[in-house]
Amino acid sequence: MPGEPSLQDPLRFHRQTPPCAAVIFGANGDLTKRKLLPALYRLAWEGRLAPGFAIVGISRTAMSDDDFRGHMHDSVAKFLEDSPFDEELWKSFAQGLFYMAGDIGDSNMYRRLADCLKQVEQARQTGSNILFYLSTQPSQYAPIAEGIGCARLNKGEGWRRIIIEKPFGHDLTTARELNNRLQKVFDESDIYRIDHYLGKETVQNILAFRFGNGIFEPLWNRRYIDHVQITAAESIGVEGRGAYYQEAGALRDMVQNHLLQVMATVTMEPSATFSADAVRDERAKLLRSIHILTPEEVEANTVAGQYGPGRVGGEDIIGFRQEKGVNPDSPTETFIAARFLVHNWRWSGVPFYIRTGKALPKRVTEIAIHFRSAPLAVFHNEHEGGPAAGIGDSSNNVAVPNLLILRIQPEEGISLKFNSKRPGAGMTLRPVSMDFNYGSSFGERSPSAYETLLLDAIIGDATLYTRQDMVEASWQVVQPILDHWSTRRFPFPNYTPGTWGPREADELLAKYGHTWRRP
Amino acid sequence: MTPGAQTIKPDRLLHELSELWTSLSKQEEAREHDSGVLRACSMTLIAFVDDEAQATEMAELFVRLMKAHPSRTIVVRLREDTGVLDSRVFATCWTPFGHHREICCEQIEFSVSLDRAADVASVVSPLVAPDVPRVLWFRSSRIDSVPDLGDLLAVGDKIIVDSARPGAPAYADLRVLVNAGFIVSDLAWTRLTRLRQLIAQLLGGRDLTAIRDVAIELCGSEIPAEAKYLQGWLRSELRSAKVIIRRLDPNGVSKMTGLRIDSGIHIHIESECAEYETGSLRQRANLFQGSEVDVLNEELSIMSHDHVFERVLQHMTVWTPKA
Repeated sequence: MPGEPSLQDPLRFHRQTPPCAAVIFGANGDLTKRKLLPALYRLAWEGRLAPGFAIVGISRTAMSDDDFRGHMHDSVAKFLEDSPFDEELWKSFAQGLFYMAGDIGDSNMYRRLADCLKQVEQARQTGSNILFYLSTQPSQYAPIAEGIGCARLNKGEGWRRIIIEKPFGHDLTTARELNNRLQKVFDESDIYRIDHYLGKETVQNILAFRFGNGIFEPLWNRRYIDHVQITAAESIGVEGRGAYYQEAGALRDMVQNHLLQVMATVTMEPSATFSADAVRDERAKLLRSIHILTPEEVEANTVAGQYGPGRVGGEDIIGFRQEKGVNPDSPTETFIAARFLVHNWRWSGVPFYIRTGKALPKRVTEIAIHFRSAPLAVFHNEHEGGPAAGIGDSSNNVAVPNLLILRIQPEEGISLKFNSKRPGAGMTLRPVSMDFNYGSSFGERSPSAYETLLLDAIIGDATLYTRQDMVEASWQVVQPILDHWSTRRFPFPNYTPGTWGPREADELLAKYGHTWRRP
Repeated sequence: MTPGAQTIKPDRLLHELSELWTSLSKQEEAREHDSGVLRACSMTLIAFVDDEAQATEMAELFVRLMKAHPSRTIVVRLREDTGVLDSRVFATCWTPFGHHREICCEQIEFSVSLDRAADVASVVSPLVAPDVPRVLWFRSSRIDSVPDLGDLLAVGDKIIVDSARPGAPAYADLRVLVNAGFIVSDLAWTRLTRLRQLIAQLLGGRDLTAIRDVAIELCGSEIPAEAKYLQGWLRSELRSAKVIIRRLDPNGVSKMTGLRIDSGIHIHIESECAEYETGSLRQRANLFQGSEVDVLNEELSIMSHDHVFERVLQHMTVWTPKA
């Protein structure tokens, strides 16, 4: 029998987590209440946290430990998804919750935090391991990291890690500045930049699909793939996030981080191992291979949109400029469509169309791989379907090309569209779909992205986190678009809520003989 | 269904299965949303049960099980009367919330009297779905009345038993199967996963060779199979420790109630959770893994040799003289 006794059972046990204390800055904020605490409670429910796991919440609001526990109790009970809330287990979990009121600009606060963490370490046996989670405004990331550094909390007997959420900078310059300031306090290997898209089961499944199967990868190149469409559509508007969104826009909010990361996951080369750095090296390499657009190319290959007022399903929808906190003349885009090329041997000449926007017809995120048509149209004139079916045009009498759809949300799964003979006399083909639904569709619960990412950070697995070079590489792709757009004035608003964006988005693809898939 | 028939022809059953899918597709086409039927099959699960009531119980269990492990299920009812061999085929379908498309799994059910049990392997063998794993689940208490299971065992890639149920094989028999290269699992062992993980977490980072005394506490007159496996596991992992079973109360239902480890760890086990003390910490952990669906879900996810279980089997107390 292989292996020395160690009480471990990799076949059945979850990965074991080391003891630690998590310090959450912005502990009274929405993200903490809606996502972080429910995710951590769920991990405790599953027995995946070490016995003495502790959380120290920090925000400006004055409250006691018990007040904090009470607030978090209500939030977890309310926002816990697909899981039972066990009052008895909560009581045990809540013993590890502590709170400190403080101003992040106050150096004294960090000294108090150091004292608090010493006490927590003694009481909860956290092994001097500390995970800092910055659930605050991005402008506070660097000052908080520096405060942690000044109080010497960045080093100790155990490990120290820091998690930050996007946006990582407002542009390339500020992203570099943020990275420099963070790296003065923490090693790059201890900086965990969350992109919750990478934590989604389906995004991880893209890697399993591509590199765990032998039959797809040989087709995964310019020889067999005609083009790729990545769509991330939201059916709602900015809904209360107007002030933030006005500063960000669709390009910064979605493309610079989530969608370029997804594109990198779909197109990267296989890594030699599944170690964090091996996978991230390949993602970074791919991001650096994306062609940087010149101002003329930005003009020809990108479309910006902003929704105006409209009516969807009998309900009046206000336009972006009428949203609370938004400038009535705001030039911010709520929609973007773009065509990118990847300069490497595998993908040379294959267009990658990305579109994302608010107030579109439905909430859907998917990657559609459009394969090239069969080289010879043997079944000429024998097709059903066409544009309505979304995969071709029967009027051209060309073979309907195969289509592989990687669905990220809301129905996670994979669909392969191919042609089949319609039963009966004659040789009439029709497109059919072979679907595979991931766990959620079969009824199994998938861990939330935050559960996955928090657990990974505690274990020290950075595979699903972005790295400095990846962040900068994606800013390099996006920056020329930002720069060029800043010199232009778009005729906003230019699309109606409940539609697939401005007309120019369709024209962008039409120029190259393609049409957007209607998900 | 063909009650009382004296033979079962696998070809006919396969034909009935095919017709079943055609009729399901036609029903779906007639609906407003023609989204087709998704035929899902990731393995063949062959379950042996005692009677109609258990078969019904199984059908409900498979509905819950198919969400994670959609299977072609073959339920074999072992009856005590004689000369019976009958069968039926049907599908279990459900539509996931918010979807139009039905997901269906197929089920074949046999009734076999014990005197015809020898025929089962020849019927089951052609009915297993190709290219996917085959799992034999012996849930019937009558299985030990079948004189020779050799042909049946050869049908499966994995064998599941439950030592907590009547009719389960002895540990020595499981050891024989393991030594013969079979993938074997015992649901009594599976039910321990959460507790074992908690113990591993609590002892993580400690010098395991320094642990001397471990006591598994229980009540009731019998020693539950789970307690025996826990003892076997701790014996195999904590080689310097003396692992004893201590009966605190001979009355009531036989069950484990706690675990004491000499380095100051005490786990008090309740039905679905555990309270534990380690040093100054007193915590609660969820141990919920009680239902048959939960343990089967775990077992069906493992299609390779479980080396930890196999090692534990070698540490179980068995009454077999050395050759």
